[in-house]
Amino acid sequence: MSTEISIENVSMSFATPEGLKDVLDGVNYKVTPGHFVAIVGPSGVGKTTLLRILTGLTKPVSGTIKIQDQEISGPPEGLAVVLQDYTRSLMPWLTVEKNIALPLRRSKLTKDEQRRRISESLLEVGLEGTEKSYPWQLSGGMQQRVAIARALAVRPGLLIMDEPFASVDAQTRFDLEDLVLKVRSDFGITTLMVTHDIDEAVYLSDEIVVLYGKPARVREVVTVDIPFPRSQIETRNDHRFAELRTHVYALVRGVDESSL
Amino acid sequence: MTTISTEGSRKSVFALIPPAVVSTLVSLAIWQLAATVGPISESSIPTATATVATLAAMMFEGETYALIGETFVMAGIGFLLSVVIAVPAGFAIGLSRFAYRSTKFTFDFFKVIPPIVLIPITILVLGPSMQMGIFLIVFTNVFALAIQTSYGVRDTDPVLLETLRLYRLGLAKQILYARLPTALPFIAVGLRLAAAASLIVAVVAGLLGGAPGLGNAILTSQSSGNSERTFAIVLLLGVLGVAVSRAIQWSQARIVFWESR
Amino acid sequence: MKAYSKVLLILTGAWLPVALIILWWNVSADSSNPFFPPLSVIWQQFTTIWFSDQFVINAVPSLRNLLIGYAIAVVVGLVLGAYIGASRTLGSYIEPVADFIRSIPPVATVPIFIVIFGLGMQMRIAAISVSALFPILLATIQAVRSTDRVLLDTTKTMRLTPSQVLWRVRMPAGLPMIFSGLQLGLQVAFIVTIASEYLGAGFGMGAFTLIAADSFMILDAWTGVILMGLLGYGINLIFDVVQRIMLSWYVGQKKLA
Repeated sequence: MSTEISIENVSMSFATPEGLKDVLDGVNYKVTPGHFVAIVGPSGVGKTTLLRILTGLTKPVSGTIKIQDQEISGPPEGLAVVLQDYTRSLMPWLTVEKNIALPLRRSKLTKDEQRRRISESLLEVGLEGTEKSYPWQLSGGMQQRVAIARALAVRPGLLIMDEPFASVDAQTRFDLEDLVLKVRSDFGITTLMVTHDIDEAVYLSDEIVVLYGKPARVREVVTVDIPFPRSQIETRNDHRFAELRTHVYALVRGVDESSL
Repeated sequence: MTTISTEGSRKSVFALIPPAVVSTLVSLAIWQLAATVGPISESSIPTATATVATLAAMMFEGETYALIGETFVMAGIGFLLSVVIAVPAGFAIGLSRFAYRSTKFTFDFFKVIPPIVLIPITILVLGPSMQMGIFLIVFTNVFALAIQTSYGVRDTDPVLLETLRLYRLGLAKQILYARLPTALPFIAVGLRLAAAASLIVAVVAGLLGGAPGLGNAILTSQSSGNSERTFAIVLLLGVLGVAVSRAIQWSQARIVFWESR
Repeated sequence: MKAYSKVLLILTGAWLPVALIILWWNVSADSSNPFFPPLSVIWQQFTTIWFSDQFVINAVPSLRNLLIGYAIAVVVGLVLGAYIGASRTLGSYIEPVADFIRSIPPVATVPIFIVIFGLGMQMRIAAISVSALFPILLATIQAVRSTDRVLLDTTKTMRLTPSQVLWRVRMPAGLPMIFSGLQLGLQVAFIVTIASEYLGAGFGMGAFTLIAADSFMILDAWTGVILMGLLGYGINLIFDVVQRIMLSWYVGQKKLA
């Protein structure tokens, strides 16, 4: 399922003890349905703020988010999220199965169909058979897979990921990145992911949105023209990968590319 | 756990007996000594042997169990009443920031007031009865339990609540699947404290207010000069207190199974 | 903006107690129920009795006994608790017995003290200090015993004497836990103070209130109840302030964690 999403002239400010702080100023971007988009930028630039506006949790000071050409006013339908801190977004008092089932209860599926959906999702993320386990019985990487499975099970129109792999070790990180690629090719869900890891951004996405500035706006949208399917070893050794990576890095760091 | 040294020297035979047994025996010996010689023996303090004998004899009297029953029934009813009132109220308070802020001072104030302070008026209004005891128990528990419950509800992880909100799960589901399980450990602690307090206040209500049960029995024994019986009942209370707290600890671990991972 | 929100916060916290008092005042104003006289009359009697030398006659003895008994419990509890906590063997012997005694409702032990000491001030001080001793003792033992291993290892390199380790490292480190024992001990001391007056003879707030109730001097009884309630709250408040001052380092550390 893919959805057309557009961020139209979004600006955001916060009241702080030191006065009004402008975080975002006129962010514009149109997401192509089915695309995987990475949002990168320096620390504190406002990536998470933008994500909160996208998901309807925060209302922007000006501008709108439109999903299927409809302005949103709160968390939209068909949204699924995978956050960085999986221990805080999965419920330790529910089994894996029940955790995934919870958002499904809203759907019109029968109990059997729900059960099938759950097993399919777990199979997709490589966790078949873990239905009756509790999240805390699984490793960090596996818990994040559960969160991804939960997101897949609702067949979302939009998948939002906020630094989903920042809390796992490097090895697990590569496995999870490849899982995301697999999900992308199997399901084609429109996905927006915030990440600090530029390599990861280039590896996974169709487009990279670089936020920069105080207040932040879209500095550049980098098209990642490396063909799919991609692989950890070959793609990362690719000439084009290195070029893109350097380019994005320069944008994020605010330096001249030629100096790198 | 006592271990026997495997090095050359022999440990005394005391090393084989658990420390608790040793210290109990030593304490009883000190008591016996103090009751027979020295300044304290001049008073009507009963010897340890006489007290233990009285206690043993009491365990064969039906009246003893009637007294225990009265105390526990009073404590039980008071406890249940407290839970039924305080937990839902505390839950509602936890959900509303306004309610929480409004009730904070009042509840904190009454929580600190020991029920003993109310006894003179309560005796007048309700008489030396089980109702009086139950009222005191409820007064003791209700504020602390409500506060505890509200803490638990408020402690719910905002990240979890937001995740559920993003998946478009409404308030009812958020309460059932997030707030309630988060509050359970807090409520469990509150229940444990309330259970212990219920028993204590039941005894106090008897001792100072004339409510039926073991508390009252202590007073009647003491005022009629039966010091062996007085001491025996107090010992019995200690045993019951330990037994009850063990039982409470056991059940607490059962409810909140995910905490002991 | 900031001052406004602060005022609002105070209002939110204060409206309910104020409203409750007003409610009590009005509802009881025309009361003919002998047990619930009008609040206005109670208050008048309260000021008449307690703002006079009655306070010295009845309130001061209670406070005096409370303070003396609590002070004894604190000193003995802290010192004994420190040494017992530092010695694993001593602790294993003493703790089970202390735990058992702690399980006995403190008020229930007052008759024991009456049997031994009679009905006078001696009984009260003994009852208060022994009852308050146990929570303090057990908390101190626990606090000293559970000193952070890393902290202890670090001090080993400093070549301190055992006494210095105990009093300059372990006790300060255990202060939060010790303070919760001290608070519990204070509450127990207060309760036993009143209980000893209910059961004993002589002067004191508890004695005054109970005698008033027994003689159907309901007004006086209410004033006694209110006084004890306010004092109970006030004593706790003072303790809270002292605790916050002495544990300021702990609160700050926790905030960072």
